[in-house]
Amino acid sequence: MNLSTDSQLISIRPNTARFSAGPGGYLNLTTKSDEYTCIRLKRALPYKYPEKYICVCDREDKEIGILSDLAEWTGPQRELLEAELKRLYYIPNIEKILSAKDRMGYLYFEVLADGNRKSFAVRDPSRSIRFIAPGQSSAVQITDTEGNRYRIANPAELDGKSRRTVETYLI
Amino acid sequence: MKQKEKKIKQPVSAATLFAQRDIPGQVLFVRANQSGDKSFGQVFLATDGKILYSLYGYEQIRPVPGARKLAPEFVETRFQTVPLESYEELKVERYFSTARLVGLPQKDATPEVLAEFALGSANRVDRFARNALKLRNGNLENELEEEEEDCCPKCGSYYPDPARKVCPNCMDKGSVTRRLLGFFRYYAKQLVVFFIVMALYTLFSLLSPYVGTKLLYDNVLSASDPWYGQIGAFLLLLLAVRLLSLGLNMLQGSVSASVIPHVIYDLKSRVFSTMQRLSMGFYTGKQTGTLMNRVNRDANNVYWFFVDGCPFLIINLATFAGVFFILFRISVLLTLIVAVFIPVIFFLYRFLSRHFRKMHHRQWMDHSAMTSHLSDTVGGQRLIKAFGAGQRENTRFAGYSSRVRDSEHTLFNAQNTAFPFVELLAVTANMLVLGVGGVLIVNGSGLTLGRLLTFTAYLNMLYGPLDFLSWVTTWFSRCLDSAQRIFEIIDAQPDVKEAQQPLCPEIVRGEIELQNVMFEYEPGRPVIRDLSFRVEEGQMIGIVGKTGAGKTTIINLMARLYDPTEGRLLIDGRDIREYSFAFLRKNIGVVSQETYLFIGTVADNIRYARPEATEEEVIAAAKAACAHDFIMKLPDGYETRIGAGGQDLSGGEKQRLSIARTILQDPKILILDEATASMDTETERNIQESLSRLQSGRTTVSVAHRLSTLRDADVLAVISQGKMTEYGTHDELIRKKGEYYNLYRLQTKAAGTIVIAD
Repeated sequence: MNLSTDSQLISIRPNTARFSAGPGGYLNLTTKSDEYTCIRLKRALPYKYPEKYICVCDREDKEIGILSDLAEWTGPQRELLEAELKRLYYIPNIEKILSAKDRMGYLYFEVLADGNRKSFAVRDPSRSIRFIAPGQSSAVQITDTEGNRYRIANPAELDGKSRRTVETYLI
Repeated sequence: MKQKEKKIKQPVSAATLFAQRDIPGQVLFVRANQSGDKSFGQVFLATDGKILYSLYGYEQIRPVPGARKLAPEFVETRFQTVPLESYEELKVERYFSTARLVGLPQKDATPEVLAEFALGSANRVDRFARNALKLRNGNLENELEEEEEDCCPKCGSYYPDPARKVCPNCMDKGSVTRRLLGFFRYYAKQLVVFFIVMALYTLFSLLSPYVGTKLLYDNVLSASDPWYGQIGAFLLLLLAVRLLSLGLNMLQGSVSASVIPHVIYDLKSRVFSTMQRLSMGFYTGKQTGTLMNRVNRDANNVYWFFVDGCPFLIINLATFAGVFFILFRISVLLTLIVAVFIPVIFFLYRFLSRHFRKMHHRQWMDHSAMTSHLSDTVGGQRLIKAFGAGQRENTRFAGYSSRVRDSEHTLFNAQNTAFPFVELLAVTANMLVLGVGGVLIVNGSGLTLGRLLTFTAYLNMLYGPLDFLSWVTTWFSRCLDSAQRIFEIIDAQPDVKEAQQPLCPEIVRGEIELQNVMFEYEPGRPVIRDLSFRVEEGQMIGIVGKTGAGKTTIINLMARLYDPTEGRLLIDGRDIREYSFAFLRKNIGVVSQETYLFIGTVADNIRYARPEATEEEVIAAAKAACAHDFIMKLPDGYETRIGAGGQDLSGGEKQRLSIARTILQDPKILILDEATASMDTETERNIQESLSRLQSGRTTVSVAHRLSTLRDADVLAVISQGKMTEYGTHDELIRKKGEYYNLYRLQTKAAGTIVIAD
């Protein structure tokens, strides 16, 4: 495979780079040659490999490089990165579906998510409720009318009624 | 006995929460879902223009002491304050599933995270942030932002769709029904006939078992009766009843057919005329886009309920009441036995219909997924073959297909098990009736064989209406939902409105001026920022920029397809909003990359700009657009049918027709939006020739990727991320060696010509 220099991945590795918490609530990055403030982390494959292929972008959203695998990072550096990713990619997990009513063409959910009760509505369930990866055993993602995401990490662990409810709409 | 608890849906109010904190003066609030800091809950923001208050926490539903109620209680986890004056700018940054409100102490300074929340609340917080800065600067024009605008004011529940503001709990079904029935008011006479026919039809249906059984067994076949042996008369009577019943059924169908399609026609016409009135924003909005797709389906839902549901609802209700009355008249005791079974069968039908609806839905979803996959693979056959992926696609299809098989299997299995069970109940009721009836006959308690058989015949007439009535309410609700959505479109207000007394001047110079124009399609995402420039009468301005820079948005504003969010756009020194739509459509002509041809002849399509144009004018316009020659090569010349299903035209030919259309319109201001972007060099040269003819004597605004297209422009504006970064003539911009110079250099390099003179 012969790719141009532009298409090569620039890997950010622990021996050449260091992340630190900036004063404004952002992460900063120091490499051998540069210092970047307010960097952003973006998962390239957020469902399949949430801990791999994480792009690091600068304030202008320009890619600095890529973290191939979080496992390469250890100690406080790893904790810092994980905490930031958790903040940016936080999705409440649905533990129980209390009710799902079809009204006016919307599916009106009442759920227990991360220990709290929450109501939301879903438009076009066949598109808004889906497995996040091909196959019938992966996690399920539900997107409400406002664009908020909810996740059922393990549908098999839901109680029977909740599982049957969500299964009705899954393709 | 355990008391049933009633739930209160009213969410915790930000106003109530902040009231305890004694914030002085005018206060703005906003509530956002889900904080992003490791826990799921809510964040409330408030400001009095000096301090920004953030309150994090979550709601807990708890029983109200001493009352049969549940009420939400807010559990605070964090409260923070920051002085608003520390920040010059507030903005919302959007991520994968969360968003942040950040403050910039100065422009280009390091931002500071002020609050984190779920992505779905980003637009709301963005509005709040803008108003917060206005409040701080003392120029908040509007009233304070309504905190609960995403909640139903009546019950407090969140709207399922914040863009629609319709609460399913509180939707006034009565008023929707009345409004829907209002469409029937022009057909009052037919409706009176319809109801009379329905009543007669039900009456004759009810007569059938009486004539067919009671009259036969107790009169015609009873030796002691004066009707004994009158078989011929009996058959004639039976035939007459059945024929009348059939005739009335046909008449009912005919009256219904003369009313319902007209009502649906009226409904669709209202929707269509509303659509013409609405501005572009309505069509491009995500929410309304979905609404539009549903118009046809919704109208059909209403149609089928009135055609299929409504008549049978009336017939079944009347039949049910009539049969029950007759059963009582025949035997009170037997009717009481039946009365025990009726509610059981009714609720069983209801339960099963809900259960099967879910199963049908499952089957429908699996089937649609399979169909989509099938259509996807048929469309992508070239690619599949090129990559030799046939076997892989076979496996994928087998997966979809097996899911359809499984869901159908489950459904049929369930149906085959459940319905015999309902039938068994009905048979049990019939057997009980026959048993008790038989005993009554044997004991000589006044019941005759004919009356017993008539009773069972009527009893069998009850099950159909029971089945129908158990699920018709769902059908009716769906019809009302559809009607509600149709009314939402009918009631929608255009964003771009014509002035009360619009200007329509006779003389137009064609000067255009943009003054500090800002525009956003979605709140918080400005596409054009603080844009100002002026185009003199008869001048040509070229707008240059990368894809997504906002070039097309500028011309959309010039054509008044949208209004600026802030700032003004002037034509001949007057705000574009002061002119009539007719004036703007007559004097602003647009030739865009996407040419649209309607179904019709070539001449019809050219004449679309000015329907009263003569044949000579149409031909002259086509000649001016260099379209005449290719039109004359078409089989039917100007009368060749084009558009969907008609003669195929190339991109260049379509574009020339579009130019001819604009030449016929004869606008004073001409807008060219990438008019030649998709053409090859030769076609572009031909079209450029026709465009040059079109431009003479007009103010021209031309948007183009290829800078060679703009070589005749008097002045050029370079747009980047919605802002004008460079402005001047070609030579000036080349000398400046900025963005235009770079673009020009790249394009000339790509074209293989390196002619850059400093």
